[in-house]
Amino acid sequence: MSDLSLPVDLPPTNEPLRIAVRRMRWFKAAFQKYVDAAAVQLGCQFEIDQSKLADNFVRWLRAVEAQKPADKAARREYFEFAAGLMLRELTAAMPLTLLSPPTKAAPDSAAAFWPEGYVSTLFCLTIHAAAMEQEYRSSPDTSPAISDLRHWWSFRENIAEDASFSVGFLQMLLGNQPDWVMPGVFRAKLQRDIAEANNSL
Amino acid sequence: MPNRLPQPPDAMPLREALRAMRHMLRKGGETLIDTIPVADLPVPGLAGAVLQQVEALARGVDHVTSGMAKLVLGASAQPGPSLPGIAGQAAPDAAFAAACYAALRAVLAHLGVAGVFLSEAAIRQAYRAAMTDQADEAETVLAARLTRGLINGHVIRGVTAADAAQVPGAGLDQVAIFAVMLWLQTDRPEGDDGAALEAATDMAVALSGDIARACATETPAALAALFKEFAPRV
Repeated sequence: MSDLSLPVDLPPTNEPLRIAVRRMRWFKAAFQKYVDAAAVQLGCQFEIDQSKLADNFVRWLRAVEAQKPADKAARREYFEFAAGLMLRELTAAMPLTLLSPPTKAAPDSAAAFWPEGYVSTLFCLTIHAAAMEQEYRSSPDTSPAISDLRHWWSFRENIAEDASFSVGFLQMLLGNQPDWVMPGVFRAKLQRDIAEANNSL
Repeated sequence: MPNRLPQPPDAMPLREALRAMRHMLRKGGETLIDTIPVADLPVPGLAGAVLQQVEALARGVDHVTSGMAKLVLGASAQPGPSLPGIAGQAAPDAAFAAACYAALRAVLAHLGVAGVFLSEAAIRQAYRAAMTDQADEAETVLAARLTRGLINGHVIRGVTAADAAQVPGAGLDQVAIFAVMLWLQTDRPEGDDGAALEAATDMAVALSGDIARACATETPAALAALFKEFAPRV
């Protein structure tokens, strides 16, 4: 994870994180904790619309279940895709409202440009990193693109047209090549990867 | 011959009566305060004394309710209630009614709804009516039948337009009852009963459209499917 991540301890749970994150009470607590820490670090204030957050969560759950691959070999890749779906739901109906602008963020940073989107994106990356660490003992790196404001401009502009762009954006931040044609469809990405593998034989 | 202690009387009818009186007095009190200038009355001391009595009565009932809520929502050392746990008790209908009443009260408070009347007697009746001899019945199906019974039994009464507006659509009672029944089916290994009930409530509000559609069907299957989908996710 890049140095842009926040040092936030996620709420304790006796369950594996991949299970806990699909429980509303843990998800809500984790989001609240993350946003509180982000507000302190950025020197700003956020308000969370709990009703929107519950809507986000329910839509994310259904999206994750609907596309869950039967093939266990695709599980690791699906973790990343599920994090992208989470970002899609958060950005499609943003539960965060900025009450006061950041005072501790560099003026040309993503955090200053779009604090709500920035914090939501880092939240999804943090959850993904924690789940990957727990399941695979692997710490995913973020791409240098995360510091490039042009990508954030593009991100914000494109999700206004199609919220699924968020899924591709998150994959890009994780250093992968997204499927920009159908970023919100896991099978499409899977089929493309298979086709690429066949072509390289 | 063994000494047998007399069976304690069932306190529920008394609680129900006191709550009904409190509900009536609160409604009436609001109207009185809004319409009668008590300080301008010829005997303001008498009016004040009456209001003090009313307040004392309400506080007394609130204390009973608060004690039940603590017991049900985890402020005690006992495990939180669950449908199988309740079914195994000596008086399951009374246990369910007490748990459901306290949980419904907490759900409505979380939704910002105050001043409605909850009938513990109607909850108990709905539980009795919903219980069958089908031992192999899935918990979700029992929960779905109970949900319909509680809705049809009008356990939540006196809902104003302002109360109803706290939930999208037209189903405050459906959403609140669904939330409680969802919560009763949720694993709470970490003892976070209160947080789980809040989460179940938020989830029920997010699902209000699905709940309304499920309640409009003639069988409990659609509600049972919703419980199966979301009980592990609270």
